[in-house]
Amino acid sequence: MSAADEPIRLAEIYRFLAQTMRYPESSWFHDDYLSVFKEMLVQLEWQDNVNALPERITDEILEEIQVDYTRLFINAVPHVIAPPYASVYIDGTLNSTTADKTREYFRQKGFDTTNTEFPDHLVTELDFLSLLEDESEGSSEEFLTQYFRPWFEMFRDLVLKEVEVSYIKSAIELIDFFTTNET
Amino acid sequence: MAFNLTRRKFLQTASLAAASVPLANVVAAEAGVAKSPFTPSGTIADKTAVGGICEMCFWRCQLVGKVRDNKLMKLEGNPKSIDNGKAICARGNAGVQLLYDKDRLKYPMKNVGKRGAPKWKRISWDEALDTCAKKLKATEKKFGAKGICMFPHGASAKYPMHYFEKTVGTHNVSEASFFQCRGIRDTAFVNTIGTPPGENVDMANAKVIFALGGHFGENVHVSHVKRYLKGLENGAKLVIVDPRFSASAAKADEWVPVKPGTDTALMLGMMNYIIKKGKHNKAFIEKHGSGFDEFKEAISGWSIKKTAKTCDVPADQIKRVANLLADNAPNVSIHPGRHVSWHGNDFQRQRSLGCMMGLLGAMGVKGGFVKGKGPKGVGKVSWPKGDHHEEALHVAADVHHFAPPGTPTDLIRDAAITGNPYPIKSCVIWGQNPMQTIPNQKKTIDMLKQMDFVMCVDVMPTDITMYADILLPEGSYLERYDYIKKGTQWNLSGKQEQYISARMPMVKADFERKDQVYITNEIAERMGYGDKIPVKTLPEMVDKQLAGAGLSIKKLVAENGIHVQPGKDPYGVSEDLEVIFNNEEIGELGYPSSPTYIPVEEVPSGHFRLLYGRSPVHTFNRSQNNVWLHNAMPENPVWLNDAMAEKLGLKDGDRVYCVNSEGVKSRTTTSVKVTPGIRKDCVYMAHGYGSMNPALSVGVGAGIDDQSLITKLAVDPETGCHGMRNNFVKLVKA
Amino acid sequence: MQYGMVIDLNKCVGCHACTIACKAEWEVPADKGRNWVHRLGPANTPHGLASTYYPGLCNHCNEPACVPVCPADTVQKTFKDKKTGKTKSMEVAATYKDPFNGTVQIDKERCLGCGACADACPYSARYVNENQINEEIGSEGTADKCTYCMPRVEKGLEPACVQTCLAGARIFGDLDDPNSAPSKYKKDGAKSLSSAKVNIGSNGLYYGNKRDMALLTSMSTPQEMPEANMRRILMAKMKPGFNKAKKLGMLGLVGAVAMKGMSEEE
Repeated sequence: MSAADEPIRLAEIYRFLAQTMRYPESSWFHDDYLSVFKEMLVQLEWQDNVNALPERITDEILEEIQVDYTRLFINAVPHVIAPPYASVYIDGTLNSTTADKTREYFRQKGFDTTNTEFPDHLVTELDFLSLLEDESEGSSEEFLTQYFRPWFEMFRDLVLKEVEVSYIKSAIELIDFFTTNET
Repeated sequence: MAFNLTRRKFLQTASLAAASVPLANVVAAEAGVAKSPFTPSGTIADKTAVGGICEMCFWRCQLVGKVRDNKLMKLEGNPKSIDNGKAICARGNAGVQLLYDKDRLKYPMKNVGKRGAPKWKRISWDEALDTCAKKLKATEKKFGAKGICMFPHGASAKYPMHYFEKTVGTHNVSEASFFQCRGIRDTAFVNTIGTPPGENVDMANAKVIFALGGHFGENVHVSHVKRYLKGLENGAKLVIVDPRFSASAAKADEWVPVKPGTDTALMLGMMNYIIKKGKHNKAFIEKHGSGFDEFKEAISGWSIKKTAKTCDVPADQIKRVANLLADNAPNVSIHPGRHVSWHGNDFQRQRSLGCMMGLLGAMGVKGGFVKGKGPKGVGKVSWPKGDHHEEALHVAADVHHFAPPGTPTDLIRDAAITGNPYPIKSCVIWGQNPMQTIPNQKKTIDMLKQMDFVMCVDVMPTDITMYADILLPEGSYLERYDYIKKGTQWNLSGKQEQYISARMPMVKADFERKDQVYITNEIAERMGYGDKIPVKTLPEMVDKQLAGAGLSIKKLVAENGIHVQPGKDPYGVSEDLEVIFNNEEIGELGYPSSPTYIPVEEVPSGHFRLLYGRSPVHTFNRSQNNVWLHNAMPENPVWLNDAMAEKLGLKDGDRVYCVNSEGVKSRTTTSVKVTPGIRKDCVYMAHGYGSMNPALSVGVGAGIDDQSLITKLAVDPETGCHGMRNNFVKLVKA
Repeated sequence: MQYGMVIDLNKCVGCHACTIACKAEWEVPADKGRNWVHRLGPANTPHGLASTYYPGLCNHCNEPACVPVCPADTVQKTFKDKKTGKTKSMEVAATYKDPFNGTVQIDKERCLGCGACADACPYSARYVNENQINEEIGSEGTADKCTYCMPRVEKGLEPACVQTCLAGARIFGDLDDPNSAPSKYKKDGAKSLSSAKVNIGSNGLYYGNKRDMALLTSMSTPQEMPEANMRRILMAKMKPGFNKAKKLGMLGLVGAVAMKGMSEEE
């Protein structure tokens, strides 16, 4: 494998990481998906993470992950644990200045969001990172350091403190690993 | 965790088939415009969305939205409004933060844990609606429609409420706005002056404004406060009867620090004095009064001396206030109040206010009780009434004969808990948070625990939603059509105009939030009532209603959201107006026929009576999580008389718990506000605080939940409404 | 022309609408504010029991304490009178008093975020938004405060707080114009919150009955200029040096850090 392939591969990984943070549903969250997910951990030699994951995806296990996902990222009483939006961590409010700035950055790079999610949602930002890498190698570094990491680190700490299911824990650790600036 | 492989290395050596995932959510577009990153642009250049109607509280001011990039930046009063005008209050301004509250409900959810200890799982709308319909239908089949109860609140709850009440056919519907708030006022006035009074006193043109407990400024309803302030500007004398030196007391000419619970005695004492002095409006009473002689006789024992002793108010002040009212009659605003469910003796107090209006002839005249003449023609859209013959619980039990519409909350709750006279097994909660609206939280929990099914529809995960089996996310008032707001110009003596406006969305609903028509129709369809559905969509409903007045959504948009037309002079009274001083009908049902003071329990030694009221930045407990409002007033200090503080060794700013006379301790603490501005026998705090704060939240923090301390129930016998000021607390240093 | 604002305490009901409208209009961080409402009392005054409010904001002072302490490099700035079209050029740092409309403004693109201005203000009318970092000049944040909504006023609108005030308690206008609404209030006795030591020509005035004014002035009038005096003097002294540094290509970034270090030692 040549070094020239690297950026394309990183783009694919960001795409995969974005997928890990979508709401798990039986249409895609099945044994095949799990095997790819595990394979990444195996390649990284994160054996503890591999061991903690379930053997197979059963209805019960899917529900357990859905419940934890909902509690962490969507709603809980009295408060959602770790809303996956940059604004919440930077501005203290949802869909505020940081979301606008993020959208502006997308536009500077020639992109915009079309879905109902806010631009500073974790999945959206990971998708954006993959697009940047698709376009040219290493072009995601600026976004990573200026936009992504500042809030992701706070988010990551909250999730890792509160998370109950091993799948989400591993997903967050994977994202952390692949978005950390290597110098 | 050991990171024994670098990212670069991994990318070079790993060989895995990375999942290829469609990237539907990001597409190429025009590059954005460059702007200064540090200077905010302000909302001047933003797009204006018209037709907003606020629902941060239920006064419902008319709004415009400033929208940038499909995002709501700011709300403002609609400059075309002849009601609130360009002004809106702090809560109205903070609607943006409700819209984008991080804790808002986004998707339908199913509780796979227990009621009270929920584990939420996001589900599809189809699954959610199927479950709701199946469960509700099962209850209906097994126990009849009456086996379903409903706790609605707000504009979005009307449509589903009528579905359950009329088409499905259950009487077991209880609105907090009636049974824990203003229902007593409405039925007391209907049985005194023949009409629910609203807050329709012409304060802007009054010579005297008189209010029991009214704390305008802390309680903010924009056009209402405008009337009040206009009155003061025009020189009206202000009389505020309140144990506390409230925001209004601070502007008053007479602050009457009445002993809590004795307001009725004060009213009777003043009315007796006015009659004895011959200062009542004889001509008005002659023409419009009924049962005046019996009334006069019934209150004749209330000498100034007895009143002064009962109310703990100086005799001179009572005379002074009575004379002030009588000497300025009829141009006097006797404020009917709004939240009046205080002590369980409230129907009688509200009747006494109506009688005072009659005594002074303060009706239909400048400054008196005057209802604006609003526009006609706006139609109603509702569900058809089925063939039902059940009686409501209070009717069957022959109690609470003057209950407001619906069924008294406690009767529903008791029936559900005991199964007597019949089981209630499904519960629909729509926009209400009975955990904070209804006293005695344990009973509410017991009621919910025995249900076969509980569903909640809301915008926020309020406390009650913890007890839902299915929780549905609703579009907020900024994301949907619905409420028709109509009325007149705010100052009744101004240029006579009428307006009609309809709520329109400022932005579209994010995530999977749906509106009440969609949700109700889908459930109705699945319950076999599809043929009864009155409208298919919310805009259709609004257009049908507007059609009666020759309007449509399209026309309203063209008129910047508000249709204004010439109005009618509101002054004058109709020939057949009757002020029923002594009401035989009330007497025949076993209640006092003339307004009567029913003493309330005395404060046990070492305790204070717990009083609560409004904070200008919160509506009940609905807005606690709003980050702008939270930061404006982060907690609710407990007001304590300075002399009592010295006795207790408490200083301003000390942190305390409250413990009530039944041993219930507040979950949280608050600070003490030491002040000469409150009586010695009571403490006061703003209502709506004290939710618990998790690690992250920037939202709620300190403060005490007054409702958690209201465990002793008082029920007003005439109406079945709750009285919530008969609880006593000690302050314990934290 | 000198813009100013009167708060009529007889009308103000303490509802906080002004503070929230400002937050929305200018995207102020949730836990900060360009203006505020403090609730005062109930407390005894020589004129009786009183309870009132201190709705505060930048007073756009005649001799602003915040302006001379700004350590940012000065630039030549040309001001224009919106009415007459007359222009005037001045050397200004990152905060300045507009010679035509009398407002005190911040040049956010050049603000170093050192917080000297916020410290210097006896009314605590400024805050530093630490999340708003200008990487280009190496700032530590951006100072922010009330602008009297000049971008709105220039477009013929009222300041956001004035527009939303349901009580009509905020009266905005030109204090140099004797016929303006705030000038009339001034003639009727509207007063600034000034004391023997804090007398810098505040253009924020308060009007109310005796007991409310007694409570407001006793509780909310600053009695001392802030402690940052030493630092302010130092900074002012160093300013020419900074200008030289700038000309030599030594950027403000290093200077700001040095200044910060000095202030912390004091």
